[in-house]
Amino acid sequence: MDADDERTIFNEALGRASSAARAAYLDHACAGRRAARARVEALLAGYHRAGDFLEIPPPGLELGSDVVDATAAPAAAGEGPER
Amino acid sequence: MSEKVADNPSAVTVTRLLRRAGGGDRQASAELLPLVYRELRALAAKKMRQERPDQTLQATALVHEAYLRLMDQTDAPKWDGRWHFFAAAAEAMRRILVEHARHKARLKGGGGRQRIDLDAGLRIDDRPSADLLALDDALDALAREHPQEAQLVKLRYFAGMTTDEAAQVLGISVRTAGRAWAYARAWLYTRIADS
Repeated sequence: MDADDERTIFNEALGRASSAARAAYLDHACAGRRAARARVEALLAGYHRAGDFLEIPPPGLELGSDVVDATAAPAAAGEGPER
Repeated sequence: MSEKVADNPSAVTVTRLLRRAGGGDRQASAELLPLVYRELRALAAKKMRQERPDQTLQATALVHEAYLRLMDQTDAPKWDGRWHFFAAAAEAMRRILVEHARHKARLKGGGGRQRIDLDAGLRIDDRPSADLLALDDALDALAREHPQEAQLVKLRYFAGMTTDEAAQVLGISVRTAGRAWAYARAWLYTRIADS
C-alpha cells in the first residue's frame, strides 16, 4: 500500500458512522491486504487515543520564571501578555 | 509595539520577498526563512527583557507580532504573498523551540547543575522538551511521505493558524485540510507512540 492509498482509506474509514460500517468498509478496501489493514487500524486507534495532541499550542517561551502556564498569554494577533 | 516601516528596513525586504514568493519564486521563499527567524528570536529576547518575570510568551503571539513588525502595512493587505510569511514563520518557530529543547536536553544529559544561559536569553519549559524533540523527528519523517500534511502541522501547531487559514496558505479546500489534519495527527501520534 502506498502512502496516498493509506491516507485515503484512513479518511474514508474515519468518515463511517459506526464501527460496523467502518469494519465493512475496511473488509472491502483492504481485501487481501492484511498489512494494509493493520496499518490503517493502527492509525485509527492512534487517532482515537490522540486526545488533544497537537490541538493545544506548543509550550510558551518562558520569561524567566520556573512556572510555565501555557494558557496565561493570549494568542490573539499582535497582543502581548497583559501588563 | 509597532514601528514605522522607515525604522525597520527589513520590512521592505520582507515585503519584496513575499511579493516574489507570491508569484511562485521558490528562492524568495527560501530567503524569507532566515529573516523571519532572526526577527522572531530578537522579538522573543526583547519581550524577555520587558515583560514581568511571571509572564509566559506564546509562540503564536510572537509569530503574529513578527508579522505586524516585518510587513509593510500600507501594502500588505492587497495581495496573497503574506501566506508565505506564515510558512516561513512556522518553520522558524519550530526551529527556535526545537533548538532550545535540544539545548536543554544536552545540559540535562551533562548532569551538571550549571546555569542555563541561552544566547537569546529565553528558555522553555522542562517538561515538553522530550515531546518536542520526538515530534520534530516524527515531523521530518511525515514530510518525506506526506509533505503537505507536514506543512499543515507546522502552520497549525507552530504558527498558530486555524484550519481555514492553513488551507489558504496551502491552496487546498478547508475540507481537504480537515482530512489532512486528522490523518497527520493520527500518523504522528502513532509514530511517536511506537518509537
